[in-house]
Parts: sequence; C-alpha cells; structure tokens
Amino acid sequence: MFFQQLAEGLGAGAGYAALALALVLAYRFTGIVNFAQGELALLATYVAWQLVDSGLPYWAALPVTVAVAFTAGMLTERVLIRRVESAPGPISPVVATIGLYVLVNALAALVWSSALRAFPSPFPDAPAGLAALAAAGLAGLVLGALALVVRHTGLGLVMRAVAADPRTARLSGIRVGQVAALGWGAASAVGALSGVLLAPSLFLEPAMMTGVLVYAFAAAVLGGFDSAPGAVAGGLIVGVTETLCGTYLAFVGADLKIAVPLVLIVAVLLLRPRGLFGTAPVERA
Amino acid sequence: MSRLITWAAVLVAFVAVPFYLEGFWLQTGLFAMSAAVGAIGINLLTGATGQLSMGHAFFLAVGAYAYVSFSDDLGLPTPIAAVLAVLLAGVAGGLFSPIAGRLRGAYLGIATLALIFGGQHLLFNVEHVTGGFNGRAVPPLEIFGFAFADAPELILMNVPFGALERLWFLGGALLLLAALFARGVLRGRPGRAMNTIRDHEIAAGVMGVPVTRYRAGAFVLSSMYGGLAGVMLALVFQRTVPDYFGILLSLDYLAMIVIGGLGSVGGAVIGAVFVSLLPQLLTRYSDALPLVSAPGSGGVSPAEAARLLYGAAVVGVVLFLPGGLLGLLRSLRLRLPSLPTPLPDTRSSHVS
Repeated sequence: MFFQQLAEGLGAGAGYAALALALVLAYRFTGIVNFAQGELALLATYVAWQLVDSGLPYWAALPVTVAVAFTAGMLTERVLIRRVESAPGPISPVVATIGLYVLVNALAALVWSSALRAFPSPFPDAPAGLAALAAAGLAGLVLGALALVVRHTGLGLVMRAVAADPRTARLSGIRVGQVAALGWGAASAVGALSGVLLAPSLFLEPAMMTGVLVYAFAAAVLGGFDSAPGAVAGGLIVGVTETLCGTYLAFVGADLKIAVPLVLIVAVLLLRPRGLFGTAPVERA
Repeated sequence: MSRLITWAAVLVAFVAVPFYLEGFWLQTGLFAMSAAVGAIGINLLTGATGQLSMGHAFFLAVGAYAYVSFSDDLGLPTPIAAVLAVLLAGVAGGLFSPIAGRLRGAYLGIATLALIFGGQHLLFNVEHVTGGFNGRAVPPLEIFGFAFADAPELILMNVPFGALERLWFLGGALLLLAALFARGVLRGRPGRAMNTIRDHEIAAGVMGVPVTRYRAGAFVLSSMYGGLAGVMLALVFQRTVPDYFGILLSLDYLAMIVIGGLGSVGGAVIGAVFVSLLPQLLTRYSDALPLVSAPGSGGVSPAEAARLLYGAAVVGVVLFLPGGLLGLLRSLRLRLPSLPTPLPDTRSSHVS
C-alpha cells in the first residue's frame, strides 16, 4: 500500500517536475515567468492525442509531439516574448503570457471541444504502481539527456552562458536571441512531456493543466525558481507529499489535495523566497 | 468650458439610457459597470504598482457572498451589509498582506493562485454560508425604504422602472465615486510612490517610499474595489454562483486592464467595457456571425469565441499598443476630456 502510493506520487511528481523544469528554463533564459507554460503543454498533449487517435503508435507519436512542442516554444519566443521583453514596465511580458494562456486555452476548447478524452498510457499492460514508476523513469531519462546536453556540449555551454548573463554573452559574440528561442523550445518540449505523462490519469480536457500548473509552480518555488535540479527535486517532493497527504491525512483526502501545493507556495515564499536550491537575488541600482 | 459641455452630454446620455434601451442592454451595462469598478481596483495594484494578482476573483467572491450572508443570515439592513461586505474584502486582503507586501511582481501572481483555488474550495464546501454548488439568492438592496427590485411598481414617463433601471443609476454613482477616489490616489503622493515602486523598487526605497507598506496598502485597496465589484455583481445577477469566481474571472480582469491601458482609471474602465460587452454582443448577434453559434447548439459558444478574441486582443495589445486602447485614443488625438493621465512610465528612460 505504502509503496504503491509512493510510486504513484513519484509518477505524478515526475509530471510536475517536467512542467516545473519548463517554467525554470523559460525563466532562466528570458527572466519571464511563463503562465502559459501549462497551456502550451496542453496543446502538445492534444496533438499527441490526435496523432494516436488517427492510428499512429504511441512511441512514434511521442517524438513527433515533442518536436511540435519544441517548434511551438521557439515560435512563442521569437514572435511574442522577444518583442515584449523590452516593453516598459516589468509586468507587460508576464501579462503577455497570460494573454497567451487565455488564447491557447480557448483555441484548444475550440478545436477539440471541452469533452473529457481518455489518453493512452505509455505502459498499458503494467500494474498501476509499476506504470507510474516507469513513467517517472521515462521522464528521468529525458531530463537526464537534457542535462547531459547542457553540461557537456558546446551548445550547452552557450546556453549556460546566456542564462547566467545575457549581456556578457552577447558581448562575447553569442547570438543571445537564438539561444533564448532554443531555451523556450526546450522548455516547451519538456512541458509537453509533462502533459503526455499526466494525461492518462487526469483525462484530457481544456482545464487539465490548470491544476498541474499550480503543482508545477509549487515545485519550482520550492526548488528555487532559477534552479533546474531544484525544479526536478521540488516536483518529486510535491508529488509524493501530495499523494501521501491525500491518502494518510484524513482531513486532507482527495478533495483538499490541491491545498498541499498552495500551502507550500505561500510558506516557501514567506520563509525562504529563494527556495531550496535557488540563489538569492542581488540587485544593483 | 468644452469639458463641462462634454460631461453634461455624458450625463444626459447616461440618464436617458434606461428610458430607451431594453433590459438586456441594461444588464450588460451593469455588468460592465461592476467590472469597471473591479478593474480600477486591479489596475491600482497591477498597473500602477506593478504587482501581479491572479486572486482578484476571490475578493469579488468575498464581497458578493458577504453581502448575501450579512443581510440574510445576520439580518442586517442591506446598505450596512453592503458596506460591511466591502470592508470584509479589505480585511481578507489585509490578512494576505504579509505576503502581498513582501513578494514582487510575478511572484505575487503565483502566491495569489492560492487564493483562487482555496476560495473555490470554500465556496463549494462551506454550504451553510455559500449555499454550495447552487449558490444563493441575493436579497435586493433597500435604502431608506426604496428597494432596488421589481417589486413596488414604479413608472417614470411611461417607462416601468424595474430592478435593472433602478440599479443603473446606483451603479453609475458607485462607479463614479470609485473612479474619482482612484484618480485622487493615482494623482497624489501615493500614486507617485506606487509608480516609483513599479518602475524601480530600490530607487523607491532609497527615496524614502516604504515599499512593503505601500505594496500591502495597494493590495488591500484593490481587494476592497474587488469586494465592491462583487456586491454590485451580486445585485445585478441576483444569484451568486461559485463556478463563476474561478481563475478565468481573474484572467478576465487582467485582460481588461491590459486591453484598456495599464495604470490608469480610464484604461480600466475602457477595458472593462470592452471585455464585458464582447461576449454579450456575440451572444446577441450569434446567428448573424459565421462560426459562432447559440449556446447549447454545438459549435463555438459565444463565451468561447469571446475568450478567443480577447485572448488575441491581449497579445495584440501587448505587442502593438503598449498603452492599450486608452493610449490609442490619445495618440489619435481623440483625447477624452478629464480622463486622468497616468504618470508616464519612466522605466524606458532610466539607466540601469
């Protein structure tokens, strides 16, 4: 029982971790909190559903979906974010992502209607706990590959340079805009993974990612908003805490599970705003 | 002088409306008025102070439900219940202000998600106060024996004055008061302090602006505006429904101030009118429009179509019209008289 719950918590946590990582990536590359991240993931999940529904095998649909999401993320950065980055006021870019949220959500409802849709699990034959663990493993594999690229390739070095200090990176001849677009593409691809992993248990509908976004924010805040490993750790912690609280604390139950990330967000932001692994912001006037 | 004439014309037009337009348009106008009050509130916080809030719908819910509960459960006279409801929304904002004062910009937006989801849970589950899923009926406002309801019949110049016609004037008066007060705040010392915090937090602190206190204060003020909007909405709707006060409503309010223009009273009002009229217009003329169909008949519902349109409008405005519709009006030199001028954003010019 306990291990079953733990496995399910890790499975859900992997989904949250992926979306949290997407948020952190977008934030690292452009300094913008992307409220539309969940909806971009939703769109990718619908694309995956459409592909599988039209007869493509699951494991062929997945890479196509990730590629579509990557392109969508890059386009978002190129078309929207790049042009609002320099807009007056710190709030405009964030508000632009909120507009994107409304737009994408309405678009999804328009194209795919608001009906609940069953989404195939990647491991249909495995028992529930094992399938959750396998899903977590799949997420781990992808995130590990991403980490390898970022840590050990020339491209990764450039990406890290831009994330650390865009101005200096530009001075050393890096095309900062292109790298930022790449970062948003990667963020969107990772986010798509989150949607695809969580859809079998949540059922696909236009409001699916709203709750997940809250969990992902909790994970990112807990881990530190500028720390990629922190986001992953945060996601797993949030997933396991939520599942265990829902099962073992009678007053929480299935109904109040959403309170767990909310309490976490408020507590972390009040007590330790930089999270577990984040760096404290230092600003010069 | 010309300003005086314009205002007189606006006043005459406003008074004439209930005599000529049917109930549907009055209701739409009243929704727009309540939305305008709420939008002014969030514009004080998000537009003028740079603090993002996703929790505005929560304060609308506090205002609406508190009014119902105070007047029905406690038996208070309805005007007192309305005032107390607004104050309670302020208290709710005050309870959140330790967080609202410390967090900045988008981080506050994340934290206020807690209000929305927590609030929805309460609305659905504290049934003896909120009526649960079905919500509660709203008692009509009654000031010194004059009821804002259809009940004692009243006919002015051959036009029956029902609840909507009576509320029309009340709504107009409340909106005017709310707008004037916000204008005073924005034009005076607090407004300058709030704009400085938005543009450069550290500089504001160095110049002696108590940043935390102002942020908390702006949050409380905006939540009271939300509460007032909630009371007005309840009076027009005549029923409170928990589903309505979700995250999409908060996003509606953010869309309003972006589309209208961040940081000014005029912008909030224009945006509120735009966002609340759009779905109603689409509903009204759905048969004449391609793609849009009547609610419930399959196809794209007017609400969805409206959401799509104003989502696109938000993105378009952020991209092409940084000043919103108000800025567009200004640049077309069709300047509306007496719309308060927001302080120009100094961020683009300062050297960091």
